[in-house]
Amino acid sequence: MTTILAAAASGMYHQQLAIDTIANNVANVNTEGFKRVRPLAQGQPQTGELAQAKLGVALTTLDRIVAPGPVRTADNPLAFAILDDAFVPVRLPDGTTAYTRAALLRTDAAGNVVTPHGYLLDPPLVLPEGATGARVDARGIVTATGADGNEVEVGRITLARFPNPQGLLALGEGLFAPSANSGDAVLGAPGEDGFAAIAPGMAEGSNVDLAEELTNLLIAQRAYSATVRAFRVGDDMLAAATKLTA
Amino acid sequence: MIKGLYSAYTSMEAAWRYQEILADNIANATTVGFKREVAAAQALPSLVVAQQEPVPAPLPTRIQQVIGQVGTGQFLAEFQTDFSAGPWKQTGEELDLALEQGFFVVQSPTGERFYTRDGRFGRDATGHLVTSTGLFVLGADGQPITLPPGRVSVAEDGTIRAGDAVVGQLLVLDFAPGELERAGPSYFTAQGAGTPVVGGVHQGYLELSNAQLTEELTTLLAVHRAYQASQTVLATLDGTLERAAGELGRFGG
Repeated sequence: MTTILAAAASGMYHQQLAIDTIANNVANVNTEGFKRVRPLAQGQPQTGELAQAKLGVALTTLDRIVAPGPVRTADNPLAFAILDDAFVPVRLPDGTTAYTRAALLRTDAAGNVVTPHGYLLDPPLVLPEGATGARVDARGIVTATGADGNEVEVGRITLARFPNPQGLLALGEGLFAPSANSGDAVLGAPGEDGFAAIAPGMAEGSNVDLAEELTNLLIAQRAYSATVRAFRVGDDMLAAATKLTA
Repeated sequence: MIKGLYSAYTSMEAAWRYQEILADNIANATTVGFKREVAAAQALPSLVVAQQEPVPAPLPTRIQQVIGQVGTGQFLAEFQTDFSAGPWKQTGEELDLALEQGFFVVQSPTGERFYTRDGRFGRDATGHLVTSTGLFVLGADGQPITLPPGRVSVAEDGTIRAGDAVVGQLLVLDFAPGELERAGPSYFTAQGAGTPVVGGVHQGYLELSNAQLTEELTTLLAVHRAYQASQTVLATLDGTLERAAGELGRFGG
C-alpha cells in the first residue's frame, strides 16, 4: 500500500546523496591531487517476490574517478606529478601506510622528505645533515645538495599501484587506504616495473570539472523535486483513501 | 448502485497501481540502464443488462429484452517494460560500457544469470570484471572475464585488449521483448538462450534511464485526478445509499 511513498523516498535519498557528493567535489576544485566522486543511481538484480517490487532506486554507487587531473608547474623542486594511476606511500603517525596522489613533497625542519600535510614517506627519505637543497628527477631519484656544495644521492621515490584503485578508501587529506576491494599494493620505482616516469617540478591539480559538477547538480535538484512531487501525490492518495467513509 | 460502488473502487485500485509504476519510474529517472514500465489501462468488459423476466412473445424462443449496457470499471491488464534506448552519456571512464543492441550477461556467485543494459563495470580485488554489486560479467566463453592490471581498451566488437594482447571478449545477447522478465530495476531474467550480438559496444559511455521526468510527472498528475474523481464518485454513491437506507422508509418526517 505504501510502495509509492517508498519508491519516492528512495529517489529523494539518492538525489540527496548525489547533491552532497557534488558539493564535496565542488569544494575540492582547487585541492591538489583530489579525485572526484561520481554518484550513480543503479539497479540491483533481484529474484523471487522482490523481482517485481517497485521500490525505486536500489543503490547509489559512489565511484572515485581516478582519472588524472591537469598538471601545472610547482615551485617546489621536490614536487612531482604522477603520470599513471600510481600512488606515493606515506607513513601515518600510527605506523600504518596510506597512499596519496598529492606529491607536492617538501622537507621539514629535521630534513625528512614529507607530504604537504607533514607525513613521512614510506620508506622514509632523510636528507643528510646540513643539506641546503634537494631535487627529484624523472626516475624518482632524490639528490641533496650538501653543505659543501656537492650533490649526494639520498634515495629513490617508491610508487604503489593497486589492481582496483577505485576500491581504495578515502581517509581525507588526499590520503587513501587499501581495502579488500582495491587489492594489495604493488610497489615499484618510477620508470621501471611498468610504472611511468614521474614529472618533476610539476603538481597534479584536482580532476573536478566545475561545469560538469554544476550540470549534475541541476539534474539532481530537478530529479529531487520530481520525487518530492510523487511523494506528495502518494500521500494525498492515502489521505483520500482514509476519507472514503467520511 | 452497488455496481457503481464497485466500478469506482476498481478505478481507484487501478490508479493506485499505476501510480506505483510512475513513482518507480520517477525515482529511477537517473538510474543507469533503467527501463521504464508503462501500464496499459483497459476497461473491464461491459456487461449486457437484460430484463430479468422474459418478454411474453408469440415466438417459440423466449428472447430476453436487452435494455442497455453498463460498465464495470477499469483495471490494468499488465505492466509492460518499455525497452526503448535511454540517452547516452559520455563519461570517458575505462570500464563504462554502453550497448547499441542487446544486453550484458552477468552472473551471481550462485550461478544465476541476469541481463542488463547497465554497463557501469569495475574490477574486483582479483581483477575480475564485475558490476557494482560484485556480479561477474561474462565473456563469450560463458566464463567471468579477468583483466590484467593497467588500462584496457574495449573494441566495438566487444574484444577487450590490454595493449595488443586480447584478454577477453564480452558476451552480448539479444532477446525478443516477451522473453524477458524484470528482476529488479534495470536487470532482467530470460526464458530463452538469446541470440549473440557482435558489435555496438562503446567504451567510455553509459546508457541512462529512458524515463523522462516531464512525461512521468504529467501522467502522475493526470492519474492523481482520476483517483480523486473516483473517490468523489464513491463518496457520493455512499451518501446516496445512506439516504436510501436511512430516509426512504421513514414515516411522517
